[in-house]
Amino acid sequence: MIIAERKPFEEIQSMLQSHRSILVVGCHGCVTICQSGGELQTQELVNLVRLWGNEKNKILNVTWAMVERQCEIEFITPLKIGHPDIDAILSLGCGVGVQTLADLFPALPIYPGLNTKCIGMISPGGDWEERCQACGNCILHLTAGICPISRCAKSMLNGPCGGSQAGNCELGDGRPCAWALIYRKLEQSNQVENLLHIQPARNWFTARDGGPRRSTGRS
Amino acid sequence: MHTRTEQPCLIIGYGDRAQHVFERLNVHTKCELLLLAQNDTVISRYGELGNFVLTVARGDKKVETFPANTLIYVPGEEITSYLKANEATNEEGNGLEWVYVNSHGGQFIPELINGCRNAAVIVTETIAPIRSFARALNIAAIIAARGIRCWVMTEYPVIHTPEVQTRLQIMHPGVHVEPEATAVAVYLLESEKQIQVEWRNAAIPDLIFEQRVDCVIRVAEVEQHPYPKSNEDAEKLKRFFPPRLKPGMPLTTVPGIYCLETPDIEEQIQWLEIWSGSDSLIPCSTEDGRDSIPTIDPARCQLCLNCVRICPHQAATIRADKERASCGLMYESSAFIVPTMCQGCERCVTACPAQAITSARKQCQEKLPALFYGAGSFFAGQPNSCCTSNRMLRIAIYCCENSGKIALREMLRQELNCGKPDGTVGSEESVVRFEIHWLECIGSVNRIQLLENIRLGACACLFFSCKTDACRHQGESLAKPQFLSTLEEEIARIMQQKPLFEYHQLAPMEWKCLRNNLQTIAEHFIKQQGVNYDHS
Amino acid sequence: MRAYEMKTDNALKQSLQSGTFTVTTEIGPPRHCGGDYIQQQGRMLALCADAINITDNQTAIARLSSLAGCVLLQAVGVDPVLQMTCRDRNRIALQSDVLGAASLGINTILCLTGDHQKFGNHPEAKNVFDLDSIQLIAMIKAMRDEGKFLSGDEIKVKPDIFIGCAANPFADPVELRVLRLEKKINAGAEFIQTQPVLEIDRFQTFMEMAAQRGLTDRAYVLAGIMPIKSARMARYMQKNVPGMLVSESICKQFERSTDIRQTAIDLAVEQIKIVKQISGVAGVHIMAVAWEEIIPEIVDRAGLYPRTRAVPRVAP
Repeated sequence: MIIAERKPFEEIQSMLQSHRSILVVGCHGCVTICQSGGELQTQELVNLVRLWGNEKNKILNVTWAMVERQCEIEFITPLKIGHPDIDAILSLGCGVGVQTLADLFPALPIYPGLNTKCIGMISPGGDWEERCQACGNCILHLTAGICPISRCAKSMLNGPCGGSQAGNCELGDGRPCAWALIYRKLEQSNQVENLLHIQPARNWFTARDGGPRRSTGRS
Repeated sequence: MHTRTEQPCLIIGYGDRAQHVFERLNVHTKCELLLLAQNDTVISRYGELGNFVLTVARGDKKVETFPANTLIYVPGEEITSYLKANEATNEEGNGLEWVYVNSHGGQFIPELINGCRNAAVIVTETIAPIRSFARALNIAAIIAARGIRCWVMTEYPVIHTPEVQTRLQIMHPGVHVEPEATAVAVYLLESEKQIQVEWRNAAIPDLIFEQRVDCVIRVAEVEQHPYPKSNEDAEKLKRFFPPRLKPGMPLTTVPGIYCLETPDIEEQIQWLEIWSGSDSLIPCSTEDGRDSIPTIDPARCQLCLNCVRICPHQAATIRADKERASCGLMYESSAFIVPTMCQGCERCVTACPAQAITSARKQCQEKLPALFYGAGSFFAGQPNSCCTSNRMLRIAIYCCENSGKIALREMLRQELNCGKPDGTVGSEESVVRFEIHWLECIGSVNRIQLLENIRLGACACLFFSCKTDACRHQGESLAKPQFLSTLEEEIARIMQQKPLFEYHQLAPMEWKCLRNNLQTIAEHFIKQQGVNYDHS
Repeated sequence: MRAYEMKTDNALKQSLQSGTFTVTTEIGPPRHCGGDYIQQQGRMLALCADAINITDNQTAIARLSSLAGCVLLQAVGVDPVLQMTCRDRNRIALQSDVLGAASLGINTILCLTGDHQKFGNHPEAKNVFDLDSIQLIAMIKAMRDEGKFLSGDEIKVKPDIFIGCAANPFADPVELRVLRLEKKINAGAEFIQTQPVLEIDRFQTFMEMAAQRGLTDRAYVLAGIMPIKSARMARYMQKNVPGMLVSESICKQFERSTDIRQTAIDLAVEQIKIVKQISGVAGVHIMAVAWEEIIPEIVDRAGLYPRTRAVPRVAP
């Protein structure tokens, strides 16, 4: 799932300060589940903007809308009709949503209200952690189901590095060392010797290093 | 906490006292009285989750059945006088408040321990002590998982029996059982999020005071009499709990069995009145045909699993839809709340990011504000220099369920007839209007609504909450919850001035002198507004 | 005579192969372009060690490059060891630097993954990590033995590199560290420089396990020795440095000492004497960053003089 966080309100203020009529668009997709761009958060942000707008007598009109998914043109097209006279859009969708809106409203500035963080899943502590880097060539079957490219700070394929200590990554913050996790898993199934196999230098062309990717969904 | 049926609160006892309690409580809540004669016996008690069905065999062999969701046992005079005679130094007049956790007791634990930091689970029975001890440990683990330190204590040497030890090893592997131990501490090891178990050997009362226990749970078997059989149990517990127990130890709101066996029965009754006012003893009203559990709108539900994860009673779930699955499992397209498990805490309502869950309480609560406009008599007739004559002084009041609601009900009882039909109070010059917002906990205040209120001109927000160290929304400071400070700052940054937030926090005992408290708050508030308040 | 040329002799390799207890040390390049510092240190240490490492942007702080530092060292007659990390360069740059090093007569390379840039003075930098240390070792080996780039293209004039790597016997679990050492040796590592040995028992265990797997027969292990500058440094390393194990007794020694310099030298000498006795240890790698002047005395008191090159090679 795509995880995003809302930008600090000061940053949003600086984006909106020269505008008079704003549309805030949330999304019922991933950002609702990670509670950064859902209906609740959209309403809250609208109220904050209105409060600020009232005080400064700057922003006269703040409206908002929720769409099923901001990344689908069909779902955002209805926005063209309902909101005349707006001079900016604040998107509470992930980076894809912002760009889809930008395509639909070429004459308007589209401001990103969120920072898209990662592809991840919920951790037992209730926060979200990165699990996938969309590297384009999944090798999870070779690493006991734990992705070293997204979960190792150095994306090592023959880890761990010398900084791994007590199962933690040298980056600290209690982050686990992905290779320590892989090792433990292999230990349980007596497959530690698998680690002797040298993973050759990786072809990064399938990842973002090869340029922006396209896909038909099939191979 | 709402209960699920229409069954009343049942007051059971011998003699005048039970009658007295019945008369007092019947004002607030649907009660029934079951007066027992000397040769009556309560034969058995069955019940679904949370409910009881007493079967009473009268002296002449007639058997009657009394369903109830709450039992309040009131002993007769002779027991009370016996206790009085033996309570030499009970100045504070506090006795033991204790609750039976019935066979489904695990589900009530969150409410039971709401506001506690240290809980004690006591096993004092003679029937099946081993099973009870194991169950007590389970309950303790549930409590500990919520970050509340818990002691399981017993006077019996059950810990040393092989059965208990085996059971302990299964439940808590690696635990080394100490000989001579009489108490077990169960707590959450924060760093590793594991439940830890350790042994102590200490006299139970000392342990309780040393550990500053603030909630006592007694674990009993279902088959046992639902109320203390005789003086024997009372004696035992008196030994454990000398009169110097902490005042204000919270009475739980669990519909369970309350024993009013203390000398200061008056105080007990007062407590019950207060609690009954907070709906804990009230059976849920189904007159208007609505269900009392929150409703999920399938169109909005995104199956994000938040409600499933947050529900402390495992009531929220996602049901499999085997019809649709060609293989494996497929789920229904929305989450579902199991009616029999739901206790109405409504955590799911706030947790749902898609706002798909509607509160069941709103229907009841909407009726209340009209009554409470009368409570504005504090401010009645006072000119307000800050307002123009036509402007209404809007004050938003946010109360948490625990204490705030009690507080305002107190006010209501005393001020009921002061309001005008249209819900406003005051003279032509100043009109004060209160808007009451009920919250499960002060921390769940709806930020959107709060901001909206301020934007639309609420000139002040009063927050009432209870003073408990363990409230998760208070953190280290008892003065004001962190989130309120953050909100204040945020709004201050935007509006260039601090919003008028008043935060009032009262300990349970302090609500008794609530009227005075609110008067002080009101005076303070009016002074801030630059108005002279006259007590007349 | 050409100042720099590909050479075939390699002092470090020779010393290790002859079975002499070898000594290497390292110099941390300055954070400016004044190369005199390196040469100055080089001159001081020329007789203490068989070869001297020049670190590569250690702890992700931008410094004078290792390659340039090695060239500067050569000019004062010292055999340099080039260090290469994978953090800052991709395979193209790494291969290019290998060719460049070989052309300049630098024929010993220590292959490292590299500390994360979070620890340095440019935490916002993009990190590369195109390869890890093991892939780097394998790459250089292929360049040397097969004359092939990673792409498969042929290298007309093959670089002849003596390949080294680092090892950390002090991270957990130790079995994994030994396994990784084996992996590095399989990939082509010929000599190993370990992290500072500040806990003898663990090092001993590690060496035993390595010997059991036959690793000490296949590669040369140089035990890391780091003189400690102060009690605070000891504590800091104990608590803050990733992958370092410092024993409590060492910390206490420094806390009680009245002459830190002496304690440091004493401890280093003692450690050298101990590791010398451990089977499989082919030498020591003395790390005294920003305190290099202490090294000659340590080498002297540990009885490690003279080194392979009694007389420094004089530059033209």
